[in-house]
Amino acid sequence: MLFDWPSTWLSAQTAIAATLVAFPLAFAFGWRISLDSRAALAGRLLRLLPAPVLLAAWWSGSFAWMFAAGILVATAALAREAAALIAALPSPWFESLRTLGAPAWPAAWPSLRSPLLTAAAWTAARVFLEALAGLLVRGASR
Amino acid sequence: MIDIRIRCRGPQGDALDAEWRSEAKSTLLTGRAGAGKTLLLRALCGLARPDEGRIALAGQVVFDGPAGVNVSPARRGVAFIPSEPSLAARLSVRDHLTLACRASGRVERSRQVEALLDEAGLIEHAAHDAAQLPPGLQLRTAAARALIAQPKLLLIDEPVRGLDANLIDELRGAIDAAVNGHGVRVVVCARGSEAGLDLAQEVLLLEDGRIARQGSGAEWLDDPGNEATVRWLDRHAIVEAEILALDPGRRSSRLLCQPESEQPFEAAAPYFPGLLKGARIRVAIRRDRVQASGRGPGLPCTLNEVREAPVSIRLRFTNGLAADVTRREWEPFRHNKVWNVEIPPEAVRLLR
Repeated sequence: MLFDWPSTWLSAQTAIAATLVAFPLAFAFGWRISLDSRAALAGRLLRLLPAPVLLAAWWSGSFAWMFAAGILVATAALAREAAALIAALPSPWFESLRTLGAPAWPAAWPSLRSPLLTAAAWTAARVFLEALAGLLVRGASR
Repeated sequence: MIDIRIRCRGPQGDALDAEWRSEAKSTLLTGRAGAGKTLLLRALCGLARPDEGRIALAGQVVFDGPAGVNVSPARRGVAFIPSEPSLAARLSVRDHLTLACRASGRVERSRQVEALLDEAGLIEHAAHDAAQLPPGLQLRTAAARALIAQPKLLLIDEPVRGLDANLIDELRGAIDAAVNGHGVRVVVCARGSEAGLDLAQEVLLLEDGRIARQGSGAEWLDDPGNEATVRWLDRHAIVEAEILALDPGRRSSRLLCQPESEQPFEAAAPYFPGLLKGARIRVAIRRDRVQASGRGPGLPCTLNEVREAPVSIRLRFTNGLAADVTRREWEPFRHNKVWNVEIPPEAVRLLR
């Protein structure tokens, strides 16, 4: 398979844009998942959603579909990571702040920042490779 | 005022069936592990939902089972400092206070935070990672963070583990700042009595989820009641005795202590109504009232054990007596094996 600059560029744009959009969504969603069992169920369902959108993106090859698929893939992966990281934080931090009526996420953010940014970098790489693979396969089959 | 009548079950199977009314500005809540202390605090601040009952704080009903009232933790005006770790990592002392400050407007928030940092003596630590500070400063930070939210009631769960004098001082400072500086009622939970019964106006003993005793620390020490309480208080020596003489006119008695041991000794005691001469009893002798010195009058006692407590030195003697002395009293005679001990009659209390 030959190097295809337009596909690589489109995949890179998709990966960066999708991860940037997915990051705050995933943080908020991961927060809900770690606190609420119903949100955890929705989180499991979210993991099923990217597959058909990814297939549609590969089939169409358009940035819009690639972007949508990228957001879904990145949100699902990052939300799971964020939920696991939040659940691992000591619960007294949050309980104490709850009684004070203070928001909990600014307290948790400094501890989550580094592992979440690392996870975001990995997710962006994954979205890039999935998009590129789809586009190259699509290009080769035509 | 705190007015509670609740039944509650905790996550670890611990149960609470408590009825408590209090006007005290500060309360020391105590009892063994699993007695329901933390569960009571969590029910007060709304982190645990009672199965039934009613909780009213300063005239406001915050929980009423039959009426379906359950005010959220954020709206109860009750700040909770968990046992540990209550401060988030990688967040400075200043950030912690800013997070909890409810004042509107950046300038006003900043002014309040700086004022409280100054008041709590935390200015020089304001930029430090709060979770990395020594336990005493962490407690001070947690208390300052709670006070900036202007609660009506401050709950502190087991802040003192072991006999750390510095931490006890910090705790006293935090209670004083809350009660006298901010007019906030404080409930402190502690497993043992090492923090001192004079820490709070009122002491509450929880046993198996029920309030077994309520009173001031002075009342507890003056009349410890039963042997279990005396052992928990850890402020008395328990001594077997035989009544040698009773004088109802002078309201006094004379005891032969440890009569079956190799070192029996006599002691004056208050009058014990309802008991007869020759009766065998057990008495508690308050350590801090017993006078021990390296020289001078008194009963010669051989030293058996020396323990350093936060504010005093505990001496235990081979005849079962014990005394607390200050460091200044201890230092000149630290090599003495024999100390002279005087037992004032008011130090002796009958155990029921």
